[in-house]
Formats: sequence, structure tokens, C-alpha cells
Amino acid sequence: MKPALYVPWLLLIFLTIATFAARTHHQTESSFWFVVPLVLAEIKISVIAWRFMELRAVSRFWIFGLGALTIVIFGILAVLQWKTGGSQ
Amino acid sequence: MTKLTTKRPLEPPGGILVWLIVVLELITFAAGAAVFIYQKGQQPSEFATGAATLNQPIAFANTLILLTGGWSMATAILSIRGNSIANTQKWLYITIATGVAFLLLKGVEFGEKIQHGATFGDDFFHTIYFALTGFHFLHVLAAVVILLYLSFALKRGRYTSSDYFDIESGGIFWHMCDLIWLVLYPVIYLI
Repeated sequence: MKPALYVPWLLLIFLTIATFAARTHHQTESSFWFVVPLVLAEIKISVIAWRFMELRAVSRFWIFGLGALTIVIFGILAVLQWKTGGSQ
Repeated sequence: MTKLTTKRPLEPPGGILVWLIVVLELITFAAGAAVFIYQKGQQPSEFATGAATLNQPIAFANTLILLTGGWSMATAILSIRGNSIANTQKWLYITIATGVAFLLLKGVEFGEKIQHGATFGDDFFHTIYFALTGFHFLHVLAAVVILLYLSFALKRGRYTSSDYFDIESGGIFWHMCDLIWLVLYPVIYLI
């Protein structure tokens, strides 16, 4: 068993719990709180792509490409959320 | 640190075709998520009512389950690379178990909604909700079937530490289900 993969797994679990906690307390935060779960999701995707999907082993093109795609996706979703009504 | 024994600078793990699927699926689900957010802005009261009926604990548990499945799948790849067939088999079974657990919990969530009379086509919220999560459900189901086939082939001696490309491709397909869920989860359940 390689212990190295425990670290990204625990990080992903921690970020998920943090996301859930952020939702529970979002009413006391700013109306831009919705950025928090989207940013945490982007971080989680990067961790999965880098460590679990092993993009660290190949050309940087792949991690930058996937990173750029997901940043554009979450950026569009955040702008849409902001323009069409903010948080629930 | 985990050592990667195979260096293929230009070819991504699992091959280019499965990555083409990953990119296209991410774009497709992101478009669906954008429709969800847009319609929420158009019909805030309907979406607020719908959001109140979402089962947050199940969605949270399912996220943890999928991420754990991603970890076990990555560990299965490390095991086959280390020529540990028994460990690879074990981690593949664990990954399959997480997939089945996800599907069962999602089935419970769907069942709850249907019991309360909410179905596909009822209103915008439930139509988009069932379309996005239902389509993702089918992807996880497909991933479980692929992993079942791979574990069966592994048992029959099909794969070795120098020939495991199919397992790597199946693993990327599995991780794709994680990535899609990480786009859907905050949009449908959190924001």
C-alpha cells in the first residue's frame, strides 16, 4: 500500500466537509458565498486530475488544458449565478 | 512519494480517446449546470421549493463515497503497476462497492422524490434535476459495469504489470464520474 495517496484523499474529504460546512453557515456570510463551493470544487478536480488521474506524469499541456477548461466552466457558472440571482 | 514507472509525456494516462470523452462530458454537464442556474434565476420560487426537498445528507455522503472510490481506483492502478494482482483485485472490488453504494443512495433519493410525486417533466426544477443526476447515475452505472468486466478479466490473467492499459482507461472513466459530480454537486445542492 503506497501511503502517498492517503494525503490527496484526506485533502479531498476535508475540502468536501468544508464545502458542506460553508453551506450550513452561508446565511451569515456575504452574498458572494457561492464562490466558495465552486472554488473548492475546482481545487478538488485539480487534485483528482493531478494525483489520481496521474496528469503529473505527462506533458504539462494536459494539466493546464484541463485546469483551463474547468476554470472557464466554474467561471461561467459563477457569473451566471451572480447575474441571475445570487445565493438561494 | 509514489513513483510513476511509465513516462509518456505526450499521451495522457488511459489514452487520448478516453480523455476526449472526459472533456466532452465535462462540457456537456457544465452546459446542463448552466441551464440549471439560468432557470433558477428565471423561476426562483419554484427552484427554492425544489431545493428545499433535496436530500443534503445523501448528496454529502455520495460525494465522500465517490471521492473514496477515486482513491481506491488510483490505488488499484498503483497495485497493478507493482504487479500485485491480488491487491489490484481487492482495490477494484472496493471501487465497485463504492459505485454500488453511490447508486443505491441515489436510488433512495430518487425514490423519495418519486414517492412525493416529483418526477421528470413535473416542473423545470425536477426536469433538470432528474436529467442531470439521472444522466450522471447512468455514467456511474456504466463505470461499475466496466470495472466488473476488468476485475473479471484480471482474475483470468488478462492483465500484468506491463499490460494494464484497459484498467488505466477504465480508471480514467471512473474518475470522470467524480469530476462530473464535482461540477453538479455545488450547483444543484449547495449554491
